[in-house]
Amino acid sequence: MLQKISVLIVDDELIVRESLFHWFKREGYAADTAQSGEAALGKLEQQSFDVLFVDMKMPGMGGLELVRQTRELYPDSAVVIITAYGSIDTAVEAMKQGAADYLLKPFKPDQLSLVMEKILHQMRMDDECRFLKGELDKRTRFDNIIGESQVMQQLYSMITDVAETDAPVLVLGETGTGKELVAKAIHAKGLRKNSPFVPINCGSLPDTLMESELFGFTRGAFTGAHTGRKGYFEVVAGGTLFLDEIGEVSQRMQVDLLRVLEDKKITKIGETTPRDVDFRLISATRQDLHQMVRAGTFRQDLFFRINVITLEVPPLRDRSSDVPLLVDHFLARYSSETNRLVDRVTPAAMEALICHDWPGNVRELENAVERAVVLSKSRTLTLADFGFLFQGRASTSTHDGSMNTLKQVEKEHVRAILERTGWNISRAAKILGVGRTTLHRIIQRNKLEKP
Amino acid sequence: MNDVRAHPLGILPLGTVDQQIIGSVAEAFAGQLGIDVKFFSPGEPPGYAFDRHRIQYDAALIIKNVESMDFKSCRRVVALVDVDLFVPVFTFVFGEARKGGGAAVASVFRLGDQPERIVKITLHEFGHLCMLDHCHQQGCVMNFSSDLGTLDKLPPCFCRYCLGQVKFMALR
Repeated sequence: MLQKISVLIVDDELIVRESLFHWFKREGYAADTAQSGEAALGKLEQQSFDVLFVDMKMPGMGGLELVRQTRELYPDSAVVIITAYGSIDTAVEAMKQGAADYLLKPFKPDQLSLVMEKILHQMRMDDECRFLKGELDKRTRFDNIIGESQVMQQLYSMITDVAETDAPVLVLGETGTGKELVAKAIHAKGLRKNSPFVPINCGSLPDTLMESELFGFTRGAFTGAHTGRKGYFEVVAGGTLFLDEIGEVSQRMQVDLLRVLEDKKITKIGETTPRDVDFRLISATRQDLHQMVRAGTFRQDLFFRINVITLEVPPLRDRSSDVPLLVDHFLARYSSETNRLVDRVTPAAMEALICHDWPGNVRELENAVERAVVLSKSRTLTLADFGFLFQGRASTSTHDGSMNTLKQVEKEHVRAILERTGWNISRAAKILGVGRTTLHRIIQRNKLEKP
Repeated sequence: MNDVRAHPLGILPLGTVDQQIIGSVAEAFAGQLGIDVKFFSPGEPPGYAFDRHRIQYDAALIIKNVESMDFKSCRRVVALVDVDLFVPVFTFVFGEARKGGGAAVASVFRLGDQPERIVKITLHEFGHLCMLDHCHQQGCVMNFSSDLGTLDKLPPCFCRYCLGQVKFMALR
């Protein structure tokens, strides 16, 4: 069954509300009424309406203000202005604010039908556009990784190249950047896609447990080993083994791992005969393994063995243009999971999210969106809903606490914003709150150059 | 049929309405729905609903007034008038009814000398009293008609879906 088109009639006159309400009901629309702009916004916070019929002259919030707020907060709702002779100027203003159409009171019944036909036509076009955009969005996704920025496109290209080989891969990246997703994508696109993908977090397993988990054990191998068990090296059987946080592996385990990688053989705990194993290794770490090798905490030979191909997952602050895509994705997911209708983020909030540093990367963004959705009282997430992110932040430009001059701070801050916006002068100027000409002047004055 | 007789549709002319028109309405209801229509003596023209600014009669006020009258066994009453009707947002209406309500009004004012037109309006408004919405099936009197051209294209009968609903509601 097709979903009914929902209409909200906003008018302070009861008789007008009733006339339109009954007409829409009889036409088979889902109709509701509100007697003021404030009441209309209250209803819009709780449920979505396809079309709003708004009287221009109302006590309190006028029709024009309601049009403005609706267009900003709920741009999917079409607004039709109802106005009387003599207030044409405001109707024109409302059209400029984004009203879909206007009706002059009183109007012929067929005018209302025509307006609705026009709006329904537009809605069908919008739906079609949304569907096509969805199809297009699929191209901005790579397996389960979301992002269309240039750095991500490069990463996708490398994943595709790497997946075709069987060489060990080391995935580098800060915490929360999605290293496991990259590993899964390599597996899913690789030759071993029909075999298991087995992820192990080396940081969460104590040494002894890790040994038995990886290598398996026979019955009676140690106290409490009532039954034998296969290790992950065996379970993975032809698939991909993903060792996350490989930098956390102890020196002793590093030796064992190296041996397995070189010989492709394991010996179960409690057994003496080695058995063949076959897997592809993908490791990941957020640590600087070069530094660890130099410091002697990570074996150089193991490092060379796991580091045949290196993939670096960029931190979110280096691909801030992907933030809106990610926000939309998480919004859709948590809105559906929590069964709460939250489907929009105000432009101001989105801008703030784009400019945020995201030290916890995509994971932090995901948690922020989930928290905002759960605690939100309305359909639209505003800057206030993300207030917890910005508490205690004094400045975004300098983190080292060094005593810089104002000029240095200006230069660094402008450089940071320019880099973050990919040297998009208009966007950077908007974020910095200056005009484009001023920004050009600052760039010249500080001798900043596009990389 | 006893139930039908217990709850007939009432037709209440307000002001001067041609007897031929009343006869046509009665025939249509008997033929289409098997309903015996009860006719009430003509009432006063609805002067109380006159709007000086619009020089028209407020349909909602007439409905309100008719609903306040006591028609004993009639659950639904359609008032027939010969004045120009309006509702606040529209320039005019041929008739008006509240969905599921007890009273409706239909006007001959804009219909010319063609009884078939008022029959269609009366059937249409009666449909609304029986909880029907506007219908989008071709050839159903419950289609919305905004002008005489559209009205003339409609047949004076319900589609089978609407007919089922009207019979169910009317014969309950």
